[in-house]
Amino acid sequence: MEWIEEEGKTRSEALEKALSKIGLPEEKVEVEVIQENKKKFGIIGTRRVKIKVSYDPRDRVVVIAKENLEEILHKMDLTCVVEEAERNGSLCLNIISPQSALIIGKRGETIDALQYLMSRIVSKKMSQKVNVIVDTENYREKHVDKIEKLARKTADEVRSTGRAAFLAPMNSRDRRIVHLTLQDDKDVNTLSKGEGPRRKIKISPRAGGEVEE
Amino acid sequence: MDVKDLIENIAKSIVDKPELVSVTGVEGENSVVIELKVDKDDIGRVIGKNGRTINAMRTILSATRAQKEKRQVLEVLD
Repeated sequence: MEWIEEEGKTRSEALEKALSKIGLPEEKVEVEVIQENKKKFGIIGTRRVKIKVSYDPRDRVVVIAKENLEEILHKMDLTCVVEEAERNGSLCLNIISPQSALIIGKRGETIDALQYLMSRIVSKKMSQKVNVIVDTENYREKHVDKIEKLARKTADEVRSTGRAAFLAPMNSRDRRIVHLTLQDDKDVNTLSKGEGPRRKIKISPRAGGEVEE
Repeated sequence: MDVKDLIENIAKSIVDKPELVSVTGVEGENSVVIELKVDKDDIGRVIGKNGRTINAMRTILSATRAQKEKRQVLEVLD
């Protein structure tokens, strides 16, 4: 739990101020009155109420992430709804939209850009590193399946031809999927080659594999 | 839709000094150059490592409808 303190003429005024600061609805916080100066001698003196508002920082991550993604998508003129879920311990924002193809972009470049910027924005606002997953129509899962299939298919080719093959350049996340998919394959080796955005995987026959047969 | 708004919104969310973010559009014959100006200390933040952040913004820009009408070019001014 984290908390902030806020003051106001009344409890509700102080609470309203606090909620707008942290961007959470009332039902997500706990409120405690820590100081209350009632008017003394009738109308003389000002009334101040000081409250302590406690909240779960994870709730803030969800609210900030959702708000910012919705705003960006709205400014991109896309019709959509954003739903939140938890996936592998990270916050996942799922975009439901008739224009999901446009949101994914070619080779997933738009959804990856959105995901990268969302992580940057949320990390900035929370003053700590936060990873956010942005997904639509199960794209992430389908994409992993696709890369795994490609890895296995290419490994089969390498096995039958006995010749090394290169996959198209991929980002580190995708390369990791290929390495993991083929790590238990006794016939082939995987190795990343090249620099930066041109880095790609070479799948080659495991040395001695042919001879042993 | 105004793509300047979109870029301004994203840039303001990732810099230290959002009040110093300004975006102007320079209309050319075949393209619009969107010029992003930020505080000198924030330039690195909007560009990112190997230009990753500015390229992500360019990718998002290219997914907008404005892109279909006229080429949108995003540049950081220093």
